[in-house]
Amino acid sequence: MRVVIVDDQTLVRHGIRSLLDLSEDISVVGEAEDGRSALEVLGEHRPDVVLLDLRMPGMDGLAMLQELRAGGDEVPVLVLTTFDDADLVLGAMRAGASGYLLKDVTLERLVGAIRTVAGGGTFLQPSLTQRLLRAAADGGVRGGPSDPAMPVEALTGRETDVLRLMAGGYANREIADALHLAEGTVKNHVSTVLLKLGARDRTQAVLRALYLGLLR
Amino acid sequence: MTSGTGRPREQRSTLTLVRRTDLLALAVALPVTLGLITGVPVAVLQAQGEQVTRGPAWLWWMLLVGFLVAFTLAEFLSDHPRRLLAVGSFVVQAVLGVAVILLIGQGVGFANVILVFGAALSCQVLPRWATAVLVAVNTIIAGFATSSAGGWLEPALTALFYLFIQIVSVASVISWQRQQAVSQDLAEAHVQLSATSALLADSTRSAERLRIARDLHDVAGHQLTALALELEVAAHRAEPPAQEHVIRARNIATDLLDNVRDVVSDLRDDSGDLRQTLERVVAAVPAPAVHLSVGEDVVADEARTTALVRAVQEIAANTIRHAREAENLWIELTRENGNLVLSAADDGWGATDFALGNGLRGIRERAEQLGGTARFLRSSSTRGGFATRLEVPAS
Repeated sequence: MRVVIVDDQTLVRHGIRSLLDLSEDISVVGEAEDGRSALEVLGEHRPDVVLLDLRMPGMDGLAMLQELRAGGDEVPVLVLTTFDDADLVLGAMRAGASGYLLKDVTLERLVGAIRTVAGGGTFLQPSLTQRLLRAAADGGVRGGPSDPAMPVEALTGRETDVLRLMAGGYANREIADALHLAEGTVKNHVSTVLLKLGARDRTQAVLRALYLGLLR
Repeated sequence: MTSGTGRPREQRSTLTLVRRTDLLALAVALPVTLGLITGVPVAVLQAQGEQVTRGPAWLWWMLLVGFLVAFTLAEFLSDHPRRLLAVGSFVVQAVLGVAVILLIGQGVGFANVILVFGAALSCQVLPRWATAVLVAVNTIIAGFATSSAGGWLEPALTALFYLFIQIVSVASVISWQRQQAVSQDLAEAHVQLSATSALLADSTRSAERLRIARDLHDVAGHQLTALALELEVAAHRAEPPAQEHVIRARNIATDLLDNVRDVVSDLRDDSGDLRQTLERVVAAVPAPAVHLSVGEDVVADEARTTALVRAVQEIAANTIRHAREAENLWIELTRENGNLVLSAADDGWGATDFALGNGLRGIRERAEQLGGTARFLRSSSTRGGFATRLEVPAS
């Protein structure tokens, strides 16, 4: 799998590159230190996955992603962040990123995330989701959370509990244990939640919930 | 959690407006003095069997008691919002007082002192021109009530004497009233100053915190991230026995980075200490006693903090200015249904024909700017005070 790293910090690029060199089937084919040069590198190398830092001088990650998608390039993008900048991260998700990660990851998690998004899936690192939830609870996410075209039916208390645990990255069995419910009941709740939020899978449901500030 | 009367004396502002209890003592002392001055000489002479009063003795005593009661009542009603009551009770005591004077035999006791006290009281009740007229009338009465056996000289001198005493007492009451007004202005200015300096301290603190957060974010965050990454690489390449240590070092680096993230979050959480700021503003209010209660879950950003602090300042200044006889001002700040709610009420006699002044309108403007509302309630009865309710969305 071919990967391009975009980050303005040389040390961080070097660290991630060294990490990925440990993995046999992932190779770093290009690096860039801001959005503008990233677009060029992407055009040149056409990688399978892009690792994208958001806070960069000049053209930042969000602007680059928007231009990329506007140009019709659907390459999976994994957002890397040092801090829990809720506005930026959620903005990037809305702009078409496939997932987010904290930069100080283990090799295993990084490789797993890259493989997941390369296959078309989304990856939301649970501990980062928790931080984003906390940030949302404290001050609210600016920039308008909800999509006006999307009506949302209110979730019941039980459904909110299930959604909260889904955001924590728990599987149905684990949610059932935590809430003292049968696994089948949990599956029903999950389906209802997806339906009410208009989401096609769990990760999209969590993202919608974050945008709408449903989990406080 | 209250402040106000619970705070030690020396921390409160050194400006104090005259407390109600002091006035109460004075208000009782005056009629008692009058009763003694007027009644004792008459009682003594009557005990010796002399006919002191014109008409029956019981009539005079009844009039005296009636006058003393009316005088006391007039004192207490002197600043009642319903002017009819204030002026009416004053007129009643004046009429009874004059009756007491005229029904006394000439040259007995010091009943004319009633006139002087009446003139002094009139400064609280009547417009100045009416007081001047009253003084003139009293002077004439004092002259007539004196024995005219010695021709016109003695009554004239007596009248002049009483004119002089009335002028002195009226002048001192007016001077006291002016001093009260100045004290009030000073107290208001003090509250405003206190609020401004509290807001300044708060915003300086916020700016400091943001600066520290930015430094941590820009510098430490990146370096710690790089450190964690390098250690992760090293952990995979290292051989035992070194590997164990490298792994541990890596865990320490990630924990440290997590802690830095927490610190940056906290620092960015720009809420400041709203309770402390409000307590500072409230401490500057000398009277009435302010009872402040701030809910545990109340947090506010800079814009909301400013709006709330200014609102509390205006409410306090307004109470100082307008609430007659207010002893207490209750201020409560809570979080309800995602809104911050500030409610305030005093126990004075809010003026019933009150128009919204600039300060209170400012409260409403700031509230509306933040997407909230401000309501003001004047109690329709004369004893019910003034209440304010301010609601803004919490974020």
